[in-house]
Amino acid sequence: MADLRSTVLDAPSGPAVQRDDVAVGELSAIAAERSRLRLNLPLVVGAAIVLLSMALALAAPWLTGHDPLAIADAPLSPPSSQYLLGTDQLGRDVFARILYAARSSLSVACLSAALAFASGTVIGLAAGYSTGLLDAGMMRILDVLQAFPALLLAIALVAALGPNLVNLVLIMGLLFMPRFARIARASTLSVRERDYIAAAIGLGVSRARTMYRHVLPNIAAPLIVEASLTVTLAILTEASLSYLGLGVQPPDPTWGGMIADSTAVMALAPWLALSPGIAIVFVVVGFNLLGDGLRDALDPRG
Amino acid sequence: MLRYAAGRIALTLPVLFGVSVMSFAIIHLIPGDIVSVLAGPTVGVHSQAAQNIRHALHLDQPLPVQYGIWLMGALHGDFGNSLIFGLPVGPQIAQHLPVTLVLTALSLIFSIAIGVPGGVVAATTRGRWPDLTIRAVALLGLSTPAFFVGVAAVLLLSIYLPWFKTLGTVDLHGDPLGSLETLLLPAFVLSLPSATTVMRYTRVAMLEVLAEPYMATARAKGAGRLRVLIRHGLRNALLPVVTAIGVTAAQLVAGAVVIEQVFGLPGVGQLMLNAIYHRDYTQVQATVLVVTTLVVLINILVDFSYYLLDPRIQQHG
Repeated sequence: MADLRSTVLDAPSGPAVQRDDVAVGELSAIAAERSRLRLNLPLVVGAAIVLLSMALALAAPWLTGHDPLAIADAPLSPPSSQYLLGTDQLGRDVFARILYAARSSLSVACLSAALAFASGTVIGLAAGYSTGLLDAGMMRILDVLQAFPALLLAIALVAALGPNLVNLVLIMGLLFMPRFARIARASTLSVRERDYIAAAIGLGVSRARTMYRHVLPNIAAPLIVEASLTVTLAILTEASLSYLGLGVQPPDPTWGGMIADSTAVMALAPWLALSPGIAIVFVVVGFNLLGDGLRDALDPRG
Repeated sequence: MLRYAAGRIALTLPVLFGVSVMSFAIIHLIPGDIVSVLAGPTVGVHSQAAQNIRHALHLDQPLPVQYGIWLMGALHGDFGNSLIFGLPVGPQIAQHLPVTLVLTALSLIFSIAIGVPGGVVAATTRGRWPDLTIRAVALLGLSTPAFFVGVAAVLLLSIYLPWFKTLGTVDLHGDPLGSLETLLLPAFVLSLPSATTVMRYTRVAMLEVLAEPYMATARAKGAGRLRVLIRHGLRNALLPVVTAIGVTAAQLVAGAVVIEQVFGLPGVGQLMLNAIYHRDYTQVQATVLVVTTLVVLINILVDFSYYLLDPRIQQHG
C-alpha cells in the first residue's frame, strides 16, 4: 500500500518524463513501470471520451442554435443538415435535447459519485480507525443498505421524496456510499498497522490529522478507481429512473426520458430511440475504460 | 452443517430487521401529510374524516407502535390494504411475483450459459483476438442500459423478423409454454449485464487456475485438453462463479423492474411502478420489503452452496 502513493503521483507525468531518460530506464523496476504506463490505451481513450462528453455538455449552447424545449419544426422530421438528429414527436431538435440531457445526466452522476466518495471515505476511515462498537454498528448499517437491490431502493426513495436533481444526487449518493465505505475501511485496517502511522502517533500528531495526512493518501488509489466505476453505475441508474419517469422531470430533456417517449413512434422515427441510447453507451464506455485504465495504472500488482 | 446454517441465518436476522425498518420508513419520508393527500383538499386536517383515516391507518399511534403493528402483520402475510383500492396488498404481490421469478430465473440461466463459456474462452486465449473480442463485447454489455437493448431489440426485430414474437401476453397458469416463449426475449435482454459480470468473474478465476501446477500435471499425465480445462480447470474456478451469481441476483431482480416496463410484463416491477404512479405507498412499501427479503434469502442460498462446494469452509466452519 505504501508504494501506491508514489504511483498516484507519478502516473500522469511518468511516461513522458521517463521515456527519454536512459539512466532511469535502466532500472528494471522502472522499466516495468514504464511499459505499464506507456501502453495504457484504456486510460487514454477513456479519459478522451470523458473529457469530450463533458466539453460537449458544457458547450451545448454554443454547439447548437436550437432551444431544447422549443418546438423548432414539424414533428418527426428526419435527420438533416439543419436538425442533425431530426426532431422528436413534438418537433423539438433531438441533437439539442441530447446535449442538454448530457448536462443533467453527467451532473447527477458526477455529483452523486462525489457525494458517495466523500461520505463513504469519511465513514470507512472512521470505522476502520475506531474499531469496536462504532465500527460494528456502521458496518451493520451498510449491510442493510446493500441488502436492497440498488435500483429498487432508488425507485422507492425517489417516489417518496420527489423526482428532482437534488433528491437524485442525495439518493444515489446514499446508495453508492457503502461501496466506498467498505473499500476505505478495508484499506484503513491494513494501513493503520504500518510503522509510519505508529511514528505519526508517537510524534504526537492528532487523530484527525493522522487520518487526513497519513492514512487517506495511502488508501486513495482504490477509491479513485471505484469513483470512476461508480459514475458508470450512476449514469445507468439515472437513465433507468428517467426512463421510468422518475428522473429529472419534463419538459427538461433526459436520455432515459427521450427513449421512453420515443417508444410510441419507434417504427416511424428510429433515430429518436437510438441516438439517446448511443449517447448513454458512449459516455458509460468512456468512464468504464477510464476506471479500468486507472486500475491498471494504480495497482502495483496489475 | 446445522451449526453453519444457524450461524449464517443468525447473521441475516439483523439485516432483515434493518430492511424492514427502512421499508417502513419510506412511507414516512413523504413530505406533507399523507392524510390530506388521501382525503383530498376539501377535507380539513382536523375534521372527523381526517381523524378516521388517521385512526384506520394507525397514524394516531407513536411511530414504534405503528412499526410493530405493520411488522406483526407482515410476518403473518398481512401487508396492509392498498391506499387506492382498499384491497389487501399481499395477494397482489403473490399474483405478480411468479412472472418476475420466472423472468429472473430464465435470465440467470442465460447469464450462466453466456458468461461461463465466454469467460473460459477469454481466459484460455488471453491477449489474443477471441479474448479481446469477448472483452470488448463485455465492455459494451456493461455500458448499455438493458432497457435500451430491449427497446432496440423490439424495434429491430419487428422490422427485420416480423414473425418473431417480441411482445405477448403472459399467463403462467393458462398457457405456460406460450408465456415462456414471450419471456425468452425479455429474459435474454435482462441477462446481458449479468452475463458480463459472470464472464468477468469466470475469466479471472480461470486465469488463476490455469497458472496452477496441477493443470500442467494433468496435461503431462495425458489427459485431453478439453478434459483438463473442464474437469481440472473450470471445476476449481467455480467458486467465484457462484459469488457472481449471488451478486447478479440482486442486479437481475432490480433490472426486472425496468425490463417488465419495456415489454409490458405483469410482474412485481409493474405492480410497484403502477403503485408509485397512483401514490399507493402501502403497496410500494410491501413490494420493496418482499423483493428485498427474497434477494437476502437468495444470498443465503449462495452461501450454503459455498459450504457444499468448498471443503475448506466445512472444516473451519
